[in-house]
Amino acid sequence: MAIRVGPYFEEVEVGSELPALSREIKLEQLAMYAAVCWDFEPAHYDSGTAQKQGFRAAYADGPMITALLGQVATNWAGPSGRLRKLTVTYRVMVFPGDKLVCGGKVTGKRREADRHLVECEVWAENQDGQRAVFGTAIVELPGKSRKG
Amino acid sequence: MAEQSSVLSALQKLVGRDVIYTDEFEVEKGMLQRFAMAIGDPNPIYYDEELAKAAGYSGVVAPPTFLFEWNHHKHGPLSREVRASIFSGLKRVPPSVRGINEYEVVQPVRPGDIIKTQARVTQVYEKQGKSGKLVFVICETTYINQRQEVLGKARDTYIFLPEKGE
Repeated sequence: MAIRVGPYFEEVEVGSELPALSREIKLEQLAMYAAVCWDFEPAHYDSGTAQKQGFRAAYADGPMITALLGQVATNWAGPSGRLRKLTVTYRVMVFPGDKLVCGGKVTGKRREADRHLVECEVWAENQDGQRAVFGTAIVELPGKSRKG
Repeated sequence: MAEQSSVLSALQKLVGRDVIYTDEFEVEKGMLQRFAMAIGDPNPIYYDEELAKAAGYSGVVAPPTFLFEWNHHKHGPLSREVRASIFSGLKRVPPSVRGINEYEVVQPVRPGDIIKTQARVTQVYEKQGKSGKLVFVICETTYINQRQEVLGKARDTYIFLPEKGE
C-alpha cells in the first residue's frame, strides 16, 4: 500500500506536534495558483500592480497559504482522516522569496455523536519568525472501537 | 477620511443581498489535479482512483480548500464587477485583504460536480487601525452540488484598507 496510514483517535496525544511542511514561495507558484482558481487579480502575480496598491511586491492569495495548512493536517491525518474545518487569520502578507514553515499542534480531542474529532492549532511562520497565517484545523480520525 | 466613510457606505449597500451563482463548468479530474499541483500537494487521493477508493472515497477527490477557491470570487458579492460598480463614485477602487477564512468541509468535491454558491454579505463595520479606518466585510457562503447536497460552508472576513497618504 503506497498510501501512508494515519493515527487512530485513541493514539493522539494532546500537545503533540504535527510534522511540519517547509516551502519557499515563488512567483511561479502565485501565478499557478491564480490560474487554477481563475482569479486573475494582477496583484497576485504582477509586482507593478501590487506596488500601485501600496504593497512591496506581488503577494500570495491568502488561501494559497491556507491550503498549505490544510496539507499539514491531511498529511498527518492520513488517508482515513478527514479535514472537517479550517479557520485561519491572515496577519502578515506573503511574498515571493518568503520561506515558510507550516506546523501544527494537537490542542484538544472530543467525541461528537459518532465522530472522533481532533482540534489542532496550525500556523505558517515566515523567515522572520512571524506567524503570517494561523488558526485551527478540526480533523476527524478513525476510532479503534469502530475498526475492531 | 471623507473617502473612507464613503467606502463604508458603499459596502453597507451590499448587506443582506443574496448572490446565487452556478458554475458554468462541471469539475473535471484534471482541474482538481492542477489545483493540487499548484498547492504542491502530492497526496495520492487526488491523483489515483484506486488509492482514493482504498482511502474510503468513491474515487479521486479535490483538496479540501478547492471548493472555497474555485471560480466563485468572480461571481460573489464582492466580485471585481461589484466593486467597480459600488465604488464608481470614488477616485479609485480601494484595496482589500483577507482577514479571516472559516471553512467547513461537509463532503469532498468530486469530478462531475457542478458547484452552486449561495453567498451573502452579513455584516459591514468600521474599525480604527494603525494607518486609518478599516472597513470589515463578512460574507457567508454555502456551496451546493447538482444533487442539492451541501458540500461546505464558508464565513469570510475581508478588510478594506485606507488609502496610503490620503
